[in-house]
Amino acid sequence: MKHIISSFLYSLRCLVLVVAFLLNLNPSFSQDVAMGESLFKSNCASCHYLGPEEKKLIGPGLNDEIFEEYSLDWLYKWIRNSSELIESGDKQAIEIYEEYNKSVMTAFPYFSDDDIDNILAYIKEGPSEIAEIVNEVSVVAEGDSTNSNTLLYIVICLIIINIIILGYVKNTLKTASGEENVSVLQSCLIWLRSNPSFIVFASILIVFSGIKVGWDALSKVGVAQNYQPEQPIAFSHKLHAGEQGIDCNYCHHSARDSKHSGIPSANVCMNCHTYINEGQTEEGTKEIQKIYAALGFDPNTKSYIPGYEQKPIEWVRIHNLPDLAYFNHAQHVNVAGIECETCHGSIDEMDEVYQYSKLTMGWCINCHRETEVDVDNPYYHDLHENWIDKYHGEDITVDMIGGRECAKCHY
Amino acid sequence: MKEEKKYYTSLGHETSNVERSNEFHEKLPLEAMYENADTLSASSTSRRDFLKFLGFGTLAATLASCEAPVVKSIPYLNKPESITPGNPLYYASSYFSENVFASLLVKTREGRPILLSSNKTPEHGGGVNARCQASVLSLYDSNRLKGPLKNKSDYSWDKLDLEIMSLLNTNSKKIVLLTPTIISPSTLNLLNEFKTKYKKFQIVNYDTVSKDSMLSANEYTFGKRFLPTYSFDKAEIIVSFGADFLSDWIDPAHAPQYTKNRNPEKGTMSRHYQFESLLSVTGANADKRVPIKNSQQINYVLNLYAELLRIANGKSINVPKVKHKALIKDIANQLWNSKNASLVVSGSDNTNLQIIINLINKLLGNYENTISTSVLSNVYSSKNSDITSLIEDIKNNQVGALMFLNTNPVYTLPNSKEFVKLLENVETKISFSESLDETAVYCDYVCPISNYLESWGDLNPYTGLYTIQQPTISPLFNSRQFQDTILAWLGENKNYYNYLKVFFESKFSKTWNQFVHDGFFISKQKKSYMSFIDKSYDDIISNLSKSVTKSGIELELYIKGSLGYGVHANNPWLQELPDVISKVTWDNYLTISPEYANEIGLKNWHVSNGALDGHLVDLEVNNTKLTCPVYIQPGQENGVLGLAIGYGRTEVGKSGKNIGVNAYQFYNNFDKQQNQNIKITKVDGTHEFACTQNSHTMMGRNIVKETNFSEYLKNPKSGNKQFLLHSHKGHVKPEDLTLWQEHERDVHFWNLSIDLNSCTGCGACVIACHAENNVPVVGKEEVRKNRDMHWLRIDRYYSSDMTKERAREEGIGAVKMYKQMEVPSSAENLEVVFQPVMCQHCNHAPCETVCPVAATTHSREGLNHMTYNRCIGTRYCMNNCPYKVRRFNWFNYSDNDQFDYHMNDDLGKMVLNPDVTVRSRGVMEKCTMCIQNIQQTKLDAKKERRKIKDGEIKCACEKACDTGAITFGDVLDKDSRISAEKKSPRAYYLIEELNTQPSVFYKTKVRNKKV
Repeated sequence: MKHIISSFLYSLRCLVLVVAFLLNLNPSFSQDVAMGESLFKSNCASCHYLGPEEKKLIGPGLNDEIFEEYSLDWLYKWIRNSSELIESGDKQAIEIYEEYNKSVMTAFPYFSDDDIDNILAYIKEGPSEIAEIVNEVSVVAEGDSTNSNTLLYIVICLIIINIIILGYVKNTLKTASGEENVSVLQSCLIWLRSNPSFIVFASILIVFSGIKVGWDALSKVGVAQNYQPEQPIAFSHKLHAGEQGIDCNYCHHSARDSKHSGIPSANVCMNCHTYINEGQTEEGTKEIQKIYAALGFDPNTKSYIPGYEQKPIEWVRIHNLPDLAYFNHAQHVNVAGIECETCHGSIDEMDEVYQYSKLTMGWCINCHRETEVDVDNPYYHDLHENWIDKYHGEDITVDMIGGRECAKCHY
Repeated sequence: MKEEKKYYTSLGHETSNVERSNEFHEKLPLEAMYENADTLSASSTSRRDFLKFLGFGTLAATLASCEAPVVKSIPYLNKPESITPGNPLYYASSYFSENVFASLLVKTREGRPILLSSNKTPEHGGGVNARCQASVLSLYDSNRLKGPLKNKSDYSWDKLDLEIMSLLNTNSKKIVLLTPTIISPSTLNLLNEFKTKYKKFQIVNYDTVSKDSMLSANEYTFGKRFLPTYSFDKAEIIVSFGADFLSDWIDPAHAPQYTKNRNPEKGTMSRHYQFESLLSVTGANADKRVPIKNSQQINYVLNLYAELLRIANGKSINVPKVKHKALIKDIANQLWNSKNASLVVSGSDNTNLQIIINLINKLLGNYENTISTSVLSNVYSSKNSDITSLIEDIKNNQVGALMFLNTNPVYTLPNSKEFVKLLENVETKISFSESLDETAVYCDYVCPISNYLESWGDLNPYTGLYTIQQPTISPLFNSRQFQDTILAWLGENKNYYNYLKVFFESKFSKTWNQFVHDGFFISKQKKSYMSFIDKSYDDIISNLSKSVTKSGIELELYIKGSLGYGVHANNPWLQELPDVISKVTWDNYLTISPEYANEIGLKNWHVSNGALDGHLVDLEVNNTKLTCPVYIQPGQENGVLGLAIGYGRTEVGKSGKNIGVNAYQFYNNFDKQQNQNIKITKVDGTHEFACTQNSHTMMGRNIVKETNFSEYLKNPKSGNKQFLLHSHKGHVKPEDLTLWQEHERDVHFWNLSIDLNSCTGCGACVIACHAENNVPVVGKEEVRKNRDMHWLRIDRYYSSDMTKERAREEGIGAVKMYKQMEVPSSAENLEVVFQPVMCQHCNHAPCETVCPVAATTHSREGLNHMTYNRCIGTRYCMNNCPYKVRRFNWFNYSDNDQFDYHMNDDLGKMVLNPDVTVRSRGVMEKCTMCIQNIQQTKLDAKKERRKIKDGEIKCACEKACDTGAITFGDVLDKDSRISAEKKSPRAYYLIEELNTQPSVFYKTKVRNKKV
């Protein structure tokens, strides 16, 4: 009962927040914030936390206070090229430079004014709390299900105990009445002899369920769902993608334009970990040390040890497609716009990543049957007109344009 | 007492010494294997227990193996910015080997070069031939040297440098660098600096097969030793005397030039006459081919010259008689009518003959029209007399140090045994080579040089054209490029890359980065022309006429497009590439005309499994004897023998060792034509050939459709008669009688067109297909069983004198007719056609209907798909395919010691294309139309949110085809090149009568014969 009440309270809070959020929104601004969010996540989030200034990653946490402290013009210059600003002798710039151990912020000369406006709008808006709340709700829901399972087990145990006690009572009563004591097994056999149709029925049931179990077992051969190997570095996606909110594409950047999503090279880790030398826990700090050991980086002097023999990090591959199947990340992430979570699950909640999907051919095909083609892509333009006539306005799914043909994936 | 006979099973092993009574004198020490034999025998483990353990163990092992193996993924520590794993990167580079230059685009994946294609440079070059295509595999040759050697044992570069520098300093005799022509300006500059430091240093150029006769002839007629550049595209009449300019003459870029003017759609076509003794690639493409003996070539050239002189200024000179007097007269007239737009060339090694050729071209006004003396070719420079004088110097003990750069004289010199003995006179012998070749074996120091794909360089193949050679991979071994070694020996503390950059920037005002990006640049120089020296050439003519002597049998050494000079002999792709004409793989052989073979009782025959066998002969030239197999070659002039160079290597890796015979032994006086003292005698034994095509003619079928240009002008559909079927509706096209449902065509419809007029049969496409699609090499034994795996083959058909029409007219019966049809025409009338055949991607595919597991299916884009993981290997499809293009994996060709080629070692496997599956045993495979490229390009277009551009997708074969015979595209795109090709009146389907409706179509062959 307590659970129900608490989850009800959460949903209420959630609802209130959503309403408050919606009321708070400036409609003409909404598009910018969304754009800003995606830009922030892929470019800024690895160094800046969205929140109070004290919450530092590499740079300070960012919130609407920055607008009080710095002029808009100054912010443009700083974001585009901070070192230029420092060199020009700007006081505020030098102050920050000194404060952060003379580390320079990455320059973004390619940002347009609009881009910067969008990012700033997003910073002004502050973090949206919805995501966090949803997370909490789902955690609670999970707790619920485990609890109900234990309840079920307890009930089953009680029933079994009851049956045993009842049988014992029955036998005691029979002995008391002077009747012959028949064991449960014997009485079952007697019943079975008088009901041959049950035997037929039962054997059919057993044979078929045997086939079903066998079939299921065989179809799991080579399927490594939930495969969760131990990795050489206990890297937590929950921390990086979840809590810090770093965009998947920041580290797995080749997912957008290559067949491989790419395991980030150690120099990508060093973008942040040059400055973040300590983890949240002692274990975390130890794990960060492993990156330094691989690269030969000395966190005290913040420099690479000359002549160090670097040792590559041997990650254990989780998703192993057979060689005969061709899969391209760019096709799915970039062209089809599929979210990473669709196939990889809630990575942002996984401390240790496991294989979320089955990665079987049936699983692929099912998705191809259901997923619609992005007919807005100019690639499909005049083709789409033909299809409208042909399929009478039906939704065009991937399999309708050949997404189920063998050699689209096997060559 | 009678001596007891001795029997040997092998040398040094006498059978009489073998103890027969008791093979094992002592008991086998089995029990000692166990720690304590007593406890072993006392142990209670019974046989039953053992079986239980065994059973349990097996079961446990089986269960344990169900666990998938752990796969490691190791990313970069510091990823280079330009590399995105999974995406290819292209680099511009150049190739120069065996005097062949090509400007390249190198495709790399994850830092490995995997495919070469042509980086089109304006005007000249771009000739990526089969050997150049295959050179990417030579990079991953496991036979390459792993580090420097001194007296055949491992050594270090530092010690080697010090020792050689002190040797060079103390040396008082000549220091000679023996090298093929160097066309790198910076290297030549560097060698000049080397010469200023080591005064005794001297370069001797040695091109294995030189063009000395042409260079000397030009020196005689123009006063300067040079090679001009030729424009076969501007010539209306081409007359070639034994010059195989479409394959290996001066420049492989002549083939695209030639086909440019062979396009009947343009309304004009060049006419090509070929006088030759062997059947060459060029001869096979000629409009009129005249087989003549080599010794007769002089007479024909003189006759042509005399005839031209007569037309030009009524002068007459005395020349010997020839058989084709009328033809020569006719050609002379045609040449005269096409003044300023004709070409006469010769492949002869006779300087005087080449002088006459120059005179003819001068008379015809071809200089500065079809032959340029302002843009010169730098790819050949060697002088034969330089090598003979070097040998003299060695004999006289005048050479103190001899360095071999990319040359292998012990293999390529005719008197190599003598040369090896002479080498003892040289104190220091240094070899710069990639592998321990025949010459390096005799060297004191071996400095392994990096492969050209690992090296920097600049090339200047033609006047004004400069191209870059840039590394596309780090050196795989402890090798060093030649220039870096020279810099080290100069005592300079810089590398060649910096040297090159400084050299380039000081010489040209171009930016270095732009040069590296483009791969080439043209320096505009003032054009300077050579002028013909006006003098009397009468003595040359009279000398030539006198030099013709009656000869018996003649021998011509020729160059195969596949193996060239033999540099790439260890390249299994090239060994398995069928010869353009004979279609024989893994061999060289003595070619002989059918009449002459018949005369001396030599035969080729087929054994029960269809493979070809042949007789063996002893070939003797000037007392050098060699046993070689005989291949009967239709079209060859009677009394002439042909033998390819490039084979018979002894110090080469696992693929090329002892394949064929070394024909360089007969390369006396650096003359490919040997006319004196030649004898052949039949010897016992047979030779097994591995030939991929066992039928010579088309047997009266319309496989290659052909017409003549005069007919084509009247009716463009000539030669391309529509096949009609008899039916209840009367005569109908095959497509009108169909049992099939049409496929939906709403996305793309990929088609491939092959213009038989542009295809010269060279085979570059076959190699490109190997590289792109991971096609395995199967070896000679398997090719003999017709189990070759080529996805793309080039069929070669000879014409036959017997036709159905002739049989009808002369009343010849069917049996006799078909028998006669099997026989190729006589040498004089023989015509040759080539036809590349790959999977035709039938839209009514016979293979798809018979597959019991639907492993081969049709796509809505017009492709015939082959799904390896679904195939169970019934081979029904192979059986039902009318084009015989499906290939079955009889074995695992990778990681299999039985097939010890590149796919059996880790190094060779680096050439594999990661986007294409390596097929395993028991599955069928075939051409996919490079579906990986189609899919990739479609993806690129979708990513960039645009349509696919026409010509954006190129199959590997299309990319490799310099002459542009292959076109790929989408016929649903109305403006595409392929749509236009499909509408051409020349377009036809192969074996149209079966109504397979292929996605591949051909365009008729049009010859320009004089009528």
